[in-house]
Amino acid sequence: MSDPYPYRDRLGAAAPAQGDDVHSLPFQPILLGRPGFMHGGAIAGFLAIVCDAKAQAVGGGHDPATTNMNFLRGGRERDTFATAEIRARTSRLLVVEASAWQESPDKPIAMMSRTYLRR
Amino acid sequence: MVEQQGFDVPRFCARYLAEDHNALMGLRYLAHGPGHVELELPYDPAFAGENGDGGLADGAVMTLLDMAGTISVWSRIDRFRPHATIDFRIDHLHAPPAAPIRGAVDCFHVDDELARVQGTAFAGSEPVAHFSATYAFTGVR
Repeated sequence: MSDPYPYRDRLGAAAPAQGDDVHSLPFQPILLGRPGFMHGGAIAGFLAIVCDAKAQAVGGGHDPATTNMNFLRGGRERDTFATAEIRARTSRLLVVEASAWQESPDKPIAMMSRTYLRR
Repeated sequence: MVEQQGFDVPRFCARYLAEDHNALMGLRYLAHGPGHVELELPYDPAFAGENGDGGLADGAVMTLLDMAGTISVWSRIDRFRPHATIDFRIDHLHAPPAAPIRGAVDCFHVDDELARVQGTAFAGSEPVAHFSATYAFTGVR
């Protein structure tokens, strides 16, 4: 978790505390897109970070092959949280799905799945 | 707000890209045509990914492509009409290098509710990612 990752730090995304699996993205005006709403690119960038961290934890190296992103609700001017799960893992492929929310985990604002080619 | 006929892409970019997250990422207008918009994500080591090689993070390229796609819709319909990204897909062809990235996106279909775009992110002449996305016009129903 201490590896340098400038983009993550610039967004202000924080990795989960030990024993937890929730990443957080504290709200800042630099995350805004259209007035009153977070930029879709910032939400996507956050979820990519969260997916990559999950893939990293598997070990052995991985390169993203495809990303699918769904925006479910507008991201408002408040803190955002996310977790990721491994959906499939073979010798060649890794499929990770992440979900982001603000109010509560059962009201996700976005979800992303990334398929990685393992090295 | 009264919707103006005629959408001036460079003028809109000068204002919109100077704000908030777009300003953070330093997105710049490069070129446009009917339904076509090209923006640049300048190279900044502050937006490097996790590989430790200085290459830009995928998230930075996603922001570039989503913005170029967003503006390509208004370029196609030649007016501003608010919309929100509902989904996108990216094919990662190469890891983004430590270099500026150009995002070139075309809006190829619009109806009453949705707009569809596709495009490519390039490092120099090399494609690094292919993008397709769907936007929903807001306030339709």
